[in-house]
Amino acid sequence: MSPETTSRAFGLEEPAAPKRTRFEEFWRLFRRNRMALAGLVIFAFFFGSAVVGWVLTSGNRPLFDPALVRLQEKLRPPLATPQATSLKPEERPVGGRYLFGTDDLGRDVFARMLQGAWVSLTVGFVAVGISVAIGIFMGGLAGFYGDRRIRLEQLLVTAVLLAGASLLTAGWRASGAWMLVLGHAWLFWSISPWGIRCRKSLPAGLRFLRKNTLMVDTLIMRFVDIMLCFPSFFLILTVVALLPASIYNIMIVIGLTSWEGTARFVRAEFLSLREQDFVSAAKALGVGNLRVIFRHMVPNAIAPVLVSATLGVASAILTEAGLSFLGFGVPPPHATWGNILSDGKRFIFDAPWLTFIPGAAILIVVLSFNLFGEGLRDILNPRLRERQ
Amino acid sequence: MEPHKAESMDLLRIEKLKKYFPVRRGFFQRTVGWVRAVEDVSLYLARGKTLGLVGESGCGKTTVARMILNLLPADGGRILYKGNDICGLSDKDMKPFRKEIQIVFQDPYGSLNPRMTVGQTLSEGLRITGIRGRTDRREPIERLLGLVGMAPTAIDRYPHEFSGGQRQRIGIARALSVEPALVVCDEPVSALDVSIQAQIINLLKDLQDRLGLSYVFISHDLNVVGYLCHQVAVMYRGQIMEYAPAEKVFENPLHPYTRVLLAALPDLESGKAPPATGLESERPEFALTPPEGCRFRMRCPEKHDRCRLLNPELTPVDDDHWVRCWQAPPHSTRI
Ligand SMILES: Nc1ncnc2c1ncn2[C@@H]1O[C@H](COP(=O)(O)OP(=O)(O)OP(=O)(O)O)[C@@H](O)[C@H]1O
Ligand SMILES: [Mg+2]
Repeated sequence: MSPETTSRAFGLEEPAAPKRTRFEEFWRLFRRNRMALAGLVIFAFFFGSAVVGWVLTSGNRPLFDPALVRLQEKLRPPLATPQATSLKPEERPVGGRYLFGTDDLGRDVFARMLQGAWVSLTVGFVAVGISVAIGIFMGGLAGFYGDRRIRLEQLLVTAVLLAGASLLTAGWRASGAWMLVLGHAWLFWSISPWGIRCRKSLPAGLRFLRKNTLMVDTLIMRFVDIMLCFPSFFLILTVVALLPASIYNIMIVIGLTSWEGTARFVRAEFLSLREQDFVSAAKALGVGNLRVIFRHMVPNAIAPVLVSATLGVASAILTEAGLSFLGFGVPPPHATWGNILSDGKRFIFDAPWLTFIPGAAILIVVLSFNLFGEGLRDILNPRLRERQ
Repeated sequence: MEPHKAESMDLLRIEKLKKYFPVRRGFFQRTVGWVRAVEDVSLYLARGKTLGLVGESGCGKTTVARMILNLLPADGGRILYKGNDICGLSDKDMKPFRKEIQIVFQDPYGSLNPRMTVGQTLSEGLRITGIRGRTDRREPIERLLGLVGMAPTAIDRYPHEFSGGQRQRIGIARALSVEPALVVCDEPVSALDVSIQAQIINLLKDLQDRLGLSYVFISHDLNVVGYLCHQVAVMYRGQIMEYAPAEKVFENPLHPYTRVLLAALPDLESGKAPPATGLESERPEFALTPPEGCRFRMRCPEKHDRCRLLNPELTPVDDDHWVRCWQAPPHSTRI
């Protein structure tokens, strides 16, 4: 007898639904959503070409050289064949044609677009990676430990450490270092056994240090509110103007200024998950806090974060393109879609492909991320799922 | 005053348990009042027995359950488990008691983590008991599933593939995975179909016989309580109104509220609907500031002048029968 029939024979309960993994279920629903599928296909294509483009445009003698200047071949339209007579053999485009034409310096736009794709991809993903990591951390803290109170001494130590760090970076080496040392000494003392013993018998004059002040939740969420008061594009512009222009700074700055939405999502999810019976059951079993957070809460809170991350990639790509267009982005010899667009706008009537090609690329990629993100949201939200 | 003397045989003893929830209003979230969710609840439960806790929705049953599990801090009173006060213990000090006291929830849909397979859910408890290896756990998981009447094929399935009754079985298996002595069942069948209810109740009864479990069984269905429980406590608005062995509650109810509840029971044999009792739900704001005097007097068919002024104490009318009512006859031995 097979196990199925034996269990039937003994009247044991078995699930009625056929076995289907979560992924199969997800894929079945996803396939039905045409727009999301189209988004995914375009995204896959973009991803592939960015990776291939990175390989083909980097190195000493790249197949497609985005920086090769051929002044005699400037502003050639797409699909134009090069004038063979004036070009050295290694200057000829691959395939014998300028697929997307050339710009005002005779550089191959196709090669530049390939290089720009990699910039957009990495900026999008790294910036969103940073913002999601910060958002999950801050939102999780606010949602899980939100009702704990912060003691005055903790605020003071943080203030001393921050002041030390900023003095140090601002150039006052000695005083900054002293403050850092003081802050760390205080920190280590208060977690040492000796400090813990002292804590209980604090003299009356110092008792105010152990006074409770804000709640963790209040502190984090008011900070989020303050961050959201600044129009983020101008905040980024200001910061980028102060920092040396480099692709890494752009990624970090975009990441540091766009985590608020994720933090709010995660906090809201954690607050509602904390009251769920399965979380109570885990606590009742004696499962530790960290395990409750990472095994029970994060996996259930991750769906909306995934959606907002997908949409966030689109907006990070757009922000980077905007910064490059304004000249604050990735520095010039390197091509990005934003600076191709920016360079091309001077020739919009003579060489419209210089603006249309990067513009269309940005449009399509951003649109595909948005479609994919929205499809993901519909599928991951069980209430919307039932409607289909 | 607590309704029992022989302390030694008690598994669980609750004394004057209290929980007030603050009601906060306004921009600054000032506390404008208190919900007296649980007030002066004293109960005891002997080893291997079942204590039924009955009462209408919102009377504080779940709050008592969460305090027994130490998932919610009590505002006053004591909870003695095997003689140890577990009220207000830190996570670390509570650890040894976690394995002993478990809970089964009302909602079969919210009580299982949707992202974990049945096997993963059950192995959390096994991990706590010290069974570390993944393969070592497979056999005890299958045994647990068998104990609650589930096929071993359930092990790799996710909760959404099961019916409500099956999920409730899995919830029971999870509670049993740490081999507890006391299981608090918070309305474990009220979300289920009537035919399934009977199966789950029989399962609980069977498990009690086999494993010697003690239950605190929370319900608002007196029929179920009468079938399963040895002792019954009737709760109203955070207070115990009557507390006695099950037979006494059913045959000789002394509190008007208990009588009202019993009168409202549908007659199972004749299938006739119960007569109207005239007890509609009150306005909810009474929950915030209960009137002076007896909490039940607004709805009491036998109210008296004294009921308006003073809240009666839970007093014994017999060695094992306690009532909170001015009308209750005095203790027979005292006469
Ligand atoms: N976290 C909380 N904050 C404020 N009030 C609460 C909280 N939990 C419960 N209450 C209140 O305490 C009272 C008792 O609630 P409880 O959930 O214990 O009732 P119950 O008897 O379990 O009801 P049910 O049969 O509907 O499950 C209710 O008035 C409820 O509004
Ligand atoms: Mg309840």
